[in-house]
Amino acid sequence: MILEGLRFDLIILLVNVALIYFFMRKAEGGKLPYIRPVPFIEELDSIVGRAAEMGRPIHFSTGYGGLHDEWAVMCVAGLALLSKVAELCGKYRVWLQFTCFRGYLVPIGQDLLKTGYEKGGNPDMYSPDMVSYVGEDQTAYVAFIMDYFMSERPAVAMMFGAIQAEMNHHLMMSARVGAVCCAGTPRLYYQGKMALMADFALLGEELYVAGASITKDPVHMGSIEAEDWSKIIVLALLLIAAIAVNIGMPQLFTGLMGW
Amino acid sequence: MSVLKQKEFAIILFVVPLLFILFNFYTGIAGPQATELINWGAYLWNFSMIIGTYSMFRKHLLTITERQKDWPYSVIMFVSFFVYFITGYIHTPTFQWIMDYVQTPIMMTIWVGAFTTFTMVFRGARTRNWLGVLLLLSTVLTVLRMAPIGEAIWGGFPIIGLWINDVPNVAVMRAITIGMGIGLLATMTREILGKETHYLGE
Repeated sequence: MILEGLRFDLIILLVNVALIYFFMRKAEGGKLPYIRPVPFIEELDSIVGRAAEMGRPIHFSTGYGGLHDEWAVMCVAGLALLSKVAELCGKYRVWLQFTCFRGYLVPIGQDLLKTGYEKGGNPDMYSPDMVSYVGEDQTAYVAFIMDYFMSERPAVAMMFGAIQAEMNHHLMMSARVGAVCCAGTPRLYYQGKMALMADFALLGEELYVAGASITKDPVHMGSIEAEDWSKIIVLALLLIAAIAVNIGMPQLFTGLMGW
Repeated sequence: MSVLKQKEFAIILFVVPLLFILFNFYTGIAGPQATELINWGAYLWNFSMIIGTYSMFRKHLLTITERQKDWPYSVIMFVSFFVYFITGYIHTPTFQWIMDYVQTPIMMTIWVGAFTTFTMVFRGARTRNWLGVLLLLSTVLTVLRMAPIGEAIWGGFPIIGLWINDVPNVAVMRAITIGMGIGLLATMTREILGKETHYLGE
């Protein structure tokens, strides 16, 4: 029934899913784990406050990835952050401009922003024009964002999600207009750029963690505790593999992987 | 409440395709149906082009009628759009000429990757702590490894650059990949269980 070579893979998947489910239930029962504070989350209030003081907008982008591709999970994490930022913008009366790359993100973005401004206590501030869409061409997307940065000079530039090459232009324009730059993507090739250029960078899986830190949602926090246990399992597997290779029995591990 | 924000709708939208694709991945059963499901993304994409065109026309028409800032650019947008659209159907050589001598150079101007990266680093690189200094130092050593001038200055630059690339760089990339994969799995599990609703504004 299960294809050859994928059986061990499936077992690892099921073990991880079981762990996540167990820790989510545990957290829902009231036993919340400790999560190391993420600097961006700690400062989010003052970042939005800075934009309010300067009277300039905040620009938000979820990057190239959408909800229909392999980067959907990153996009979802970005949208979760957008909903929180929208709430804070509603609270401090700051214009939040969300530029999306996918057409179907327009109604989702508008919904998130509308709800955020309502939660923040200023529903009158919301406008459908807060969500921009310029077609699904990366060049057009980048050109629009560069133009927006030059004409509106946002106080804060945020990009969270499956960011691709547009990150270069984002980072460059943020530095050029003096915006506080907040970036986060688990995509490999952009980690160094983010670490070097962004004022607040969510490196690797921190993007997923950020959502939990913001909301203090037991489900999120429990799943993060489970992630730590999953990492221990992965480290144990790596150790076993290293030992197997070094004692001259690599087939022990390769056999298991190919099962 | 918008239909998109209803939890049941979101669960059907994400969970059913996800479970179906997972089932197909591990068993190989119902391959064509799974492929068809993935293709629906492409169908959605086509609809989104309609929304995009409407949004673009609305924005630029408003800019022109209200004589907003930089409104002549909106006129240029309409002229370009219609010229490009019409020549695409009635005169392919002109279309190709526009593509080769107008659009491609404009795109290249935006996508001069190395120059963009260079200006990005020049404008915004910060050495706020010792980790930043370490990162910049590694970057310089890697550049000296790749550029012929590095080896001309000192024969050790290529060796150090290669070591940075093969040892610390690969180790960090693998660690990030593992963390990313586990995070992805956790988010996927939350979605399958209907617990991930923040993207719906809840």
